[in-house]
Amino acid sequence: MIKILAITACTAGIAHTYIAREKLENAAKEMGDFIKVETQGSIGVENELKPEEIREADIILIAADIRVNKDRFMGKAVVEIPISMIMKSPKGVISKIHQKLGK
Amino acid sequence: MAGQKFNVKKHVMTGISYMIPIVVCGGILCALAKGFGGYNIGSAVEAGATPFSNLNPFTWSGFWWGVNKLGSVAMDFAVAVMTAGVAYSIAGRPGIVPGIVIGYCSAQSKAGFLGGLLMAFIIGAFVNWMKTWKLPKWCEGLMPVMIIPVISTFICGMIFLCLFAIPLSIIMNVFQKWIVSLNGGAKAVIGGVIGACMGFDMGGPVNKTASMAANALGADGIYGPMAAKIIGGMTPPIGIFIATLIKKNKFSKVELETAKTAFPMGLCFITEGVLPFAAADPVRVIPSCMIGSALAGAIAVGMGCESVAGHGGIFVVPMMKNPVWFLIALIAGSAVTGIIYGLLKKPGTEDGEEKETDLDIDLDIQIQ
Repeated sequence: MIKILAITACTAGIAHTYIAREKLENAAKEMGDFIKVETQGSIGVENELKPEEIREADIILIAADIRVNKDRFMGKAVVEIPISMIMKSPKGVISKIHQKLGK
Repeated sequence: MAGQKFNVKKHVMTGISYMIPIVVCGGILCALAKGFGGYNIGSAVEAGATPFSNLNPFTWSGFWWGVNKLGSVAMDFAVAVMTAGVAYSIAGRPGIVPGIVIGYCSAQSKAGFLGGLLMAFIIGAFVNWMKTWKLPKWCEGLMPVMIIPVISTFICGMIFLCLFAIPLSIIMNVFQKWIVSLNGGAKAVIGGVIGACMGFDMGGPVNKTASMAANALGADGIYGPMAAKIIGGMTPPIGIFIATLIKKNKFSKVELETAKTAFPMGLCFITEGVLPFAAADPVRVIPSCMIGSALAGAIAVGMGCESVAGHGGIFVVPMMKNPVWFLIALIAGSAVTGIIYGLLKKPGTEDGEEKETDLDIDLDIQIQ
């Protein structure tokens, strides 16, 4: 079990952002991992990641087609992927993270 | 963060994502104002010392003149917001100031969207380079508030004005003249081309370039391309919605839900409603949309549809020239997109439990 913090953001910021969030949450649940997903849609940031959560996270997963500010994640392990990867293969992404982290 | 690959698409998309709301806001306000106040609402109030000197919002025309003004100001800033967004994506916060200033100049000098996009990359690169400057301690604090904004706006701005503003506006001008010279069957072709551009990337750069071209022509009193622009942007989401109706079993639950929101977005001329589909399955969605949009654009312009309003979707149809043909073209184009995509769409991603595509995923974990 790993602690994943994720951010999703798509171009229009109204659809993919939220679909990806759901997919990630379901995939992580199935694989027994903890996940919290912050969405950066057109409306702004929702479900914001808190500093103490970031401190405890094993990995920061950024699934975005647009720029996401990474200043908060100094010193953390960060993975950046296009959001389409989550649309196609949420579990594949998470298991690859497991493999890379060696957990 | 050095060594990260330079992702052009991501930067452009960031800019577009900031621009979408302002374009929608401006377009719909203008259409509303023209709908209630009449075509020439923009000149209902004489400009005095300032455009607002003779403002009287408590009369019918004065009120809608105000709404129209809000909308047209929003449209004036669209390219500036896009330019600032792209520059911000490349260079972070310091990109915003030169981006807004130069983007606005680009719009005003008629170099338009292309000029803004080009300059955003120049600004981004320039600001990033400025950030590598080694300065003495005492003036480090001055970098973000004074040195970067002043120098980057000065240098990049003058590069734009000296090198790009005039040629780009000439190109746009020649393009306009050429379109005006077309007639008859050629008109249908131009309608088709604008339609196809609109359907190509759903709110992306090609789509916006076609829109800007149509807007510029509209400003010169040529309203056919405007109709093609509106219809080309409306058919993709409606078409995809039709595809989900005729081939329900080929789509997942999530997609069916998304399509339901795409339909009203299509009616409102928000092409972006189709993005979730286009991003997931571009090879099939984009050609389907382009064919439908091109057909709709060709029919509409070929049959003499014209639209003064630049935005507003279905709400501005009654104010168009030849609205009936517009509706026929809209239905025909959407149906074609729907049928083509319905046939092309690969089934398989069935309800909820979608099959995972086996991607050859390689993740790059970086320590920030």
